[in-house]
Amino acid sequence: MTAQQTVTARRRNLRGWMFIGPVVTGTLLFNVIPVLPTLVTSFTDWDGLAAPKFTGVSNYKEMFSGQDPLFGKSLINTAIYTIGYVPVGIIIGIALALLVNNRLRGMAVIRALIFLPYVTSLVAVGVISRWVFSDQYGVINAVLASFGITGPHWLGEPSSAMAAVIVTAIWANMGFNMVIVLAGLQGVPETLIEAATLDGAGRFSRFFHVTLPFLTPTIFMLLILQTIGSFQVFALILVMTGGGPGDGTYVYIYHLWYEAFSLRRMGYASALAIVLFAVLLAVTWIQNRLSKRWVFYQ
Amino acid sequence: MTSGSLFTRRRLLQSGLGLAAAGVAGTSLAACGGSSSGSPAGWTEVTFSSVGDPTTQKMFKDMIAAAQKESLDAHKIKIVWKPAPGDDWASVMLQFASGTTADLQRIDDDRVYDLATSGKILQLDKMMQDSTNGFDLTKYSPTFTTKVAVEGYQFSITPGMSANALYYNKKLFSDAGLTAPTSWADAWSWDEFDDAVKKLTKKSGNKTDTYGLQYAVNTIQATAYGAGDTALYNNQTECGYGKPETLDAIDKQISYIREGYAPTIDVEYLPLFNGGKLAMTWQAMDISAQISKDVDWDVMPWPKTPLFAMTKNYARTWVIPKTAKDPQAAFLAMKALCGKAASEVMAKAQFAVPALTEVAKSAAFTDHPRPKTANVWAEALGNVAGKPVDVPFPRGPIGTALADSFVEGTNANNLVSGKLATADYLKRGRDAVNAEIKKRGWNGDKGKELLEKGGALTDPDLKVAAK
Repeated sequence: MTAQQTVTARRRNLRGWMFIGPVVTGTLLFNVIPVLPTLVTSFTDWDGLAAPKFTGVSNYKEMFSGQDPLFGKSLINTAIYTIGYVPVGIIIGIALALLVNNRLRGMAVIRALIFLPYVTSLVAVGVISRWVFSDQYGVINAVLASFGITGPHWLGEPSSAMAAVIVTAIWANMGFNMVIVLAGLQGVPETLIEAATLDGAGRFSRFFHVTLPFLTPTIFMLLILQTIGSFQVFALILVMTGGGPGDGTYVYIYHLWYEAFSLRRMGYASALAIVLFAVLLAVTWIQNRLSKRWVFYQ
Repeated sequence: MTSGSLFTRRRLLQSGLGLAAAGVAGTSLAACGGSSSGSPAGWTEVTFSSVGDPTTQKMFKDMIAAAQKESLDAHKIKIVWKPAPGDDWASVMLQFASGTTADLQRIDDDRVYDLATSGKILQLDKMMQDSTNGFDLTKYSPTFTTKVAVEGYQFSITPGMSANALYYNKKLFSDAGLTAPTSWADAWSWDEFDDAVKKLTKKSGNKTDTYGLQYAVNTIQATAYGAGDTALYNNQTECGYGKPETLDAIDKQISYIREGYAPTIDVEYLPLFNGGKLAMTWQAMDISAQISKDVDWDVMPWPKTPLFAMTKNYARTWVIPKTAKDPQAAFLAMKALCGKAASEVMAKAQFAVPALTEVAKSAAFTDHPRPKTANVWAEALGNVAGKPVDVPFPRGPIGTALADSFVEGTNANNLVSGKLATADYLKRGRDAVNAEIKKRGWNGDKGKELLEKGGALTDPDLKVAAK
């Protein structure tokens, strides 16, 4: 490489850093650096007022020795929520994207309507859902009653309450999934679809053998994003069930919030946050490893 | 356009952006300066802050104006209002942690104990007992110095309390041929209450069309207290609520949910009450504004148990942080805000029952279109048959453990969802509290030790509540 080329490369690099500099600085300042005090706090007993007391690994010991039964319960509930929400949400997102991926008149309005719940406050969504799932006055049970079916007490039973929260979350986020998949669909080469059509491939065959492979990077991204998001579910739970009935929808972040801001055990809550970070890191790493088997990059 | 031109498009844009930036900066600076009160020379400024919705914030501003006129102008003390919109008590705690609170700060009463033991707020006993500038406590309700006391010491002042009582639908009562009691002394017995709940409930098959009662889990404290039990035994070394009468009383109350006389906690009570499908709901007085104008309602006492009448009031309380610029001026401002003029503003808004008894009994508080029996609220701060209507409940770390085990959290949630038998609820709750007592080596002297350790007790031998 000549001296001139080196200077040019440096300038290009500098320009690149200038572009990403604000984002990197912001991420470091507001995302990465705050993790460090959280890590330190997780080894203390701190109520947020008095000076923290160093307690070593006692917070972690409390979690993993079974002294806090809600730790395990909240993790299991979060896993149930994630398993129920992420795959179904992505499948619905793909289905909706395929449906609205055409130039029919009024399609823009339909897309906007599907996207609307995503930009609606989750608190409003939660309040409305409480009514929709009300056993006596809810729309769902009213519809079921018209067929002679007595609907369950949706938010009064742990399993159905979790189902109600999952359905609400899917409804609230389906617009986001749809838009991302819609963007992915624009990257599917028309020529390949046409070639497959000429070769006699049917609609389903074209989707599974041409479109879907091209969508796998998009699906993978959604999988990562939605898994992380589902581990952080909080607002809907707070509004719809308050973690109940019993501990039926008591999820991880709800537990963290309760420990931090109701019991003001900042040290323990920080330890919970660090464990969540580790869990998410592990889940994302596993997903990344497995992606090599099914994600197709052009 | 040539580069030499004076008004190139780029320059025009640059100057426009510059002006816009200057405008934004100027506006921001003006906004920062907007809180300047402009007090005359020689006056002392006391900042006062509280979270609250716009109506509450307006009321505080009116209280300040009233207190100012009544006594503070004479002391040359000016209260400067620091608005804090919303309902975020956690952010108030962050202000304490960072030392940025107002000179006079309204806080959640559950936080007083921790703030005191952490040495963040001033002990007030001495100032309250000062013969010139202190309080004439005979003029205030009995709970004034006991409700939020920390181990008997005063670290806060509570100018009013939001009383809890049963809101009832008068038409549903009339249809069922029932007449509600109008004072705590005449509260229904449990048997009378039980009959009423069952008469008021309308069922079709196994579904309930109209509920007789709705209550929250915090009534459990009152029920246990009413059964003659206490939260802690043996100088606070053991969790209470172990009497068989407590189990019976709580189980009876929970049976209303199990048997469909009361809705489970996931059901929104307000639309039910507004829709005429709920006869009685146990609520704090701030829900009045949310009740539909179509509902003819009033308030009545919770039933008395074999031992006492009972309720559980809520108190937001006011403290002087140690960072206050002039603690004496802050105390005088606090006292003025508990005075007659400011209390009348609170009474007229029916925001809370004023602790100043004469105002709580005055027309300012009682003469409203609804409720007709505002005295039920007012009496909630007093005594009946020599016993407090408001349930005493421990504070501090063991109080938090009690609340977490019996009132909030999954144990209580399980009970009122019908997922847990009452005996198991009590056992789990007691086990958790006893574990906390053991972990802390807690006893009746530990609280004072914590206060001393945190440097909170400036006057350990002065205790208003002891007088």
